[in-house]
Amino acid sequence: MKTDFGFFIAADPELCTGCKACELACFSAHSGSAPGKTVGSLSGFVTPNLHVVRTAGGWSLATCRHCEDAPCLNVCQPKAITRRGHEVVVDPALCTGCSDCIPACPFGAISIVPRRDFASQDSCGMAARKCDLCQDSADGPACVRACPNGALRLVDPECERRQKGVQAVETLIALSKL
Amino acid sequence: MTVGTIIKLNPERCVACYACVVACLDAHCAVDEDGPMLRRAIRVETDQGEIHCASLGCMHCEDPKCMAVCPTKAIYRDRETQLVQVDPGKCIGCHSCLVACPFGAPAFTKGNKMVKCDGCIQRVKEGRLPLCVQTCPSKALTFELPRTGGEESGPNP
Amino acid sequence: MTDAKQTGSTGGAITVHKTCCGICNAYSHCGIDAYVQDGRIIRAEGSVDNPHSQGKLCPRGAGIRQYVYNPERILHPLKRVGEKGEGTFEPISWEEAYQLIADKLKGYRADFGPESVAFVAGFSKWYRPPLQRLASSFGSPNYITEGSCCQEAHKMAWWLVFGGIASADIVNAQVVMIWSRNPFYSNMDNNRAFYEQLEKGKPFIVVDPRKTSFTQKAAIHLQLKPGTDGALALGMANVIIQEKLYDQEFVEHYVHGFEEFARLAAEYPPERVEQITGVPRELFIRAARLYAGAKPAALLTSASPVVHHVNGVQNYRAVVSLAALTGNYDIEGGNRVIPSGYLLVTGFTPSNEKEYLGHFTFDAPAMGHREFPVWAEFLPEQAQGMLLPKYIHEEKPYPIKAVLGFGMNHMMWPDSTYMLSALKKLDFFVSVDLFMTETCRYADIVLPACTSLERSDVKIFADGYVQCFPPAIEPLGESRHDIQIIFDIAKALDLDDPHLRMSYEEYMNFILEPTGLTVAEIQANGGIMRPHHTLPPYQERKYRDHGFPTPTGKVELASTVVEKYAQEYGYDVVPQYRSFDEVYPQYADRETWPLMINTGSRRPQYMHTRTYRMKWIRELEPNDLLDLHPQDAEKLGIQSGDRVRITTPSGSIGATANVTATVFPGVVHMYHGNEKANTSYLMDHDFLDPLSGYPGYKNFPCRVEKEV
Repeated sequence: MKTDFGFFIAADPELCTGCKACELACFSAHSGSAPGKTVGSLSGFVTPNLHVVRTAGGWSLATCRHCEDAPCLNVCQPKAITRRGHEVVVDPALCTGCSDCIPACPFGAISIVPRRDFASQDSCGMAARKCDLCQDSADGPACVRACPNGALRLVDPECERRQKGVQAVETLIALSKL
Repeated sequence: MTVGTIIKLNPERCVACYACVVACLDAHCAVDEDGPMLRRAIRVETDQGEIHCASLGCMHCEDPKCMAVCPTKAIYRDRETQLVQVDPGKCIGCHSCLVACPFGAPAFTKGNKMVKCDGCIQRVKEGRLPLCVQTCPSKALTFELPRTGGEESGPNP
Repeated sequence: MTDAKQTGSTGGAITVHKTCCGICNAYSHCGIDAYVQDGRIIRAEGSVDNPHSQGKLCPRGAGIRQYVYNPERILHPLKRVGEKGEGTFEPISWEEAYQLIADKLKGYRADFGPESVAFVAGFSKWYRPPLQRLASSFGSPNYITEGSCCQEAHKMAWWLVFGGIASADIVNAQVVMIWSRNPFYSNMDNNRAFYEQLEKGKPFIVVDPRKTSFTQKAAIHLQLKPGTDGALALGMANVIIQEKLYDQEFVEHYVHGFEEFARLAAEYPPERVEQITGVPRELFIRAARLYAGAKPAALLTSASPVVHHVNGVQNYRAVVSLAALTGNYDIEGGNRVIPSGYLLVTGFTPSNEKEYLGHFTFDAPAMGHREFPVWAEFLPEQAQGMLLPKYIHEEKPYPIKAVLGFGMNHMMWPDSTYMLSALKKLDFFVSVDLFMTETCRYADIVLPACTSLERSDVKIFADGYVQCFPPAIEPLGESRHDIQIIFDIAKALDLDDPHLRMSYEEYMNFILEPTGLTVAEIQANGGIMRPHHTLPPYQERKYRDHGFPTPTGKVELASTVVEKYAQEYGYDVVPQYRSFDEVYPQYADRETWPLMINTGSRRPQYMHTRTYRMKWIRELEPNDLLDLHPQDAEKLGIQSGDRVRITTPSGSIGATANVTATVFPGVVHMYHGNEKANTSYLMDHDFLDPLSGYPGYKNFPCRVEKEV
């Protein structure tokens, strides 16, 4: 049975204040510049992989959900977008920057950004970029660590389902006693 | 007292024996298919050894949070039965419904779509009981279709 | 329904066949609607219109497609070509198999006597009468069944006290005392009936070393250290006697040995009982008063837990004596005397089973009859098969050269190392089974049996319904039903026995004859119906006219049967309690063996060895759980999910820890029947109850360590 369902970052609307520390942390972690906590400490355009947005229900997170049947993957002609384990990944080497994936994603999770050569800091064309769950970092997702309110969490769908199931037992029993 | 809508649970009677779980697997799977498990029998113990059990499929909520958050409107309520369904043609497997659902009803398959308890909608339309309800040896599950006049939606055209 | 997807078929018509499950015992065998398309079952659900089961199933029957179509099904007769245990076989024809078997068995009979061939039935009961007949006609006294370690010993306890077992009438009882059973996980089709009584507010007293969903609902839960049931019962008896709560009239007129028993009970005052059992005295005193103070009160015993102990029968005798003291025997609302019917299902509907079995005498004594003389008196038609590996190894008093096993599994015996080495030594082993089990891999010939959905069979239920469905599908591969195989073997052996030369339908009709029904009539009526004649109402207190079927004609609290052998075998005439440490002082070292292992609790999805190979069932939980109390887990630095190793004086296996406060501190539990975490390796083959020969599965010393 398939067990490598997509992991993703989710925000708790009760705890998120819209402070955008997560956006800054994400950008810093991916741009190779020193981690900054405020916009003033960074140079250049801030292009994070997640965006804090305001909705009717409170603050919400527009970021990659690593969908099981990802529309971005389905639409990508050069096959730059693939599934790998718990992730949907973009291979910048294969990406042509065609932008078909942008409107495909219902969450607006993908940005087309300058492809950066980190050594020379020279720009070399544009490519799609999105949340990569900070796979290259041993500390895990930078956004989760940065949030001052602990509003963000890395969701493993199987754990999520299991935990909710366990909580649901108590909820249902309490409901039945009303 | 029972909880839930349509497929209702009396937690006092549930002993988490898994009959509903396996019956649901039989109803939805080929003999060599592993699952996924659409209905779960969950047993929780307190530190004192008190045992709490519940059989959990989908609650077919009157105000389904899954339906509200689905970005592609893949989740809908069947007009006739009021059972909440998912259209695999529209589902992109984004997990938003799982995050929104307080009970963790949505599951995902190797076919990359969300699946969940469908209330045995085919059986219900044939005038039969959902298989979990029929099978439960403790009669912890009961079935009651809502009266007509409830909020309706249907598969989007 | 995704039928086309299921089968990849072009969608032939789907027909619904009424059939039944056969995974657990014949009390249940719930009705199943098999949806058949192109000869294959594509869906199986409970039969709503079956009046016996009403559409309910347990998790095992619910998954029956994975049982019938399991990849481990044996589909052809096989002959071993590799080493025993290797599992290398080549297919042979049925004719060749039968010829080989017949030649071998005839040879052993000629050279070593018919007693050198043992005929063994595993858990399955439906084919037993023909198997017993086969053994008898062949001349062998060694007809062995799973009764050697299940249900017979608890009946023996009742038989020693009352001359026969009596069934708890929970519907009419004021109070029900359940002594060691978790009803919700055993014969689950009864759950609703229990709930009806619980929800009416009927008080249940439950004796169980574990907390379960049932004990939670009980009025009183007596959570005791496993194996101490005898002390608890004597303690309760003492309360009942001291407080004069017993039925004095009944005791005066119908009980033998009351004074002796009362003296024994007096050795178990509340403080001592609390110290031995771990049950607070206030609680069991209250329970004793509740049980004895209500009339009628029912006592529900169970097939194995208490008797899987080295003092098991005596312990259960003490328990059953409580019904004797209170006169709750052969009365409505107490324990009713109901005959043991077809396939061991108690019920009033008669069958011709006894006539079919006939009466035979044998020259050689059956295995275990000399070693367990009380067993020999109680169950003369069965050998005590727990001695099978010993007879194979030691060849004393005579060798066993061949075993013909039907659904026989080595895990049923304690000490799998000993049992498997016996099977290795065994000259000739024929194993008839559904699945290629580890046991089958030690056989010389393996024969494929089929499931209840692939055959017809007769059931006579406790509720009075008689059931017989035609097969839902053809037997898979070359498999045949066990009774056909038995008849075929009888033919190959040239046994001149008309009871083995019947056709299968003739056999079924022979069994059914006293019901007035035939297979044809039942099948024409949807496969399940009641006999036409009504049964007379229950007659209470038959002992007033006939006495009790014991040597004294009275209830025997001091057993005259046991007395006959007391001197020679060291038995206790009254149900003396003996602790584990007393019987096995060599294991009393709590430094080396700080914990007790108890095996054989019920998980609802397992049925002995059968369902671990069903993937839907296997994936529900880890299959090798070792339940231990938080106090013990903390001392050992173990958390749930850790890999652990459990070691006993007999063996050692790995397990997954499950820390739970539902168990008695100091006691760990593992579930039996799992080839991959076989608890029988942990048991001692000499660790048998001296009266019944039953292995002490519920109580053995151990230590548990976290695996590094």
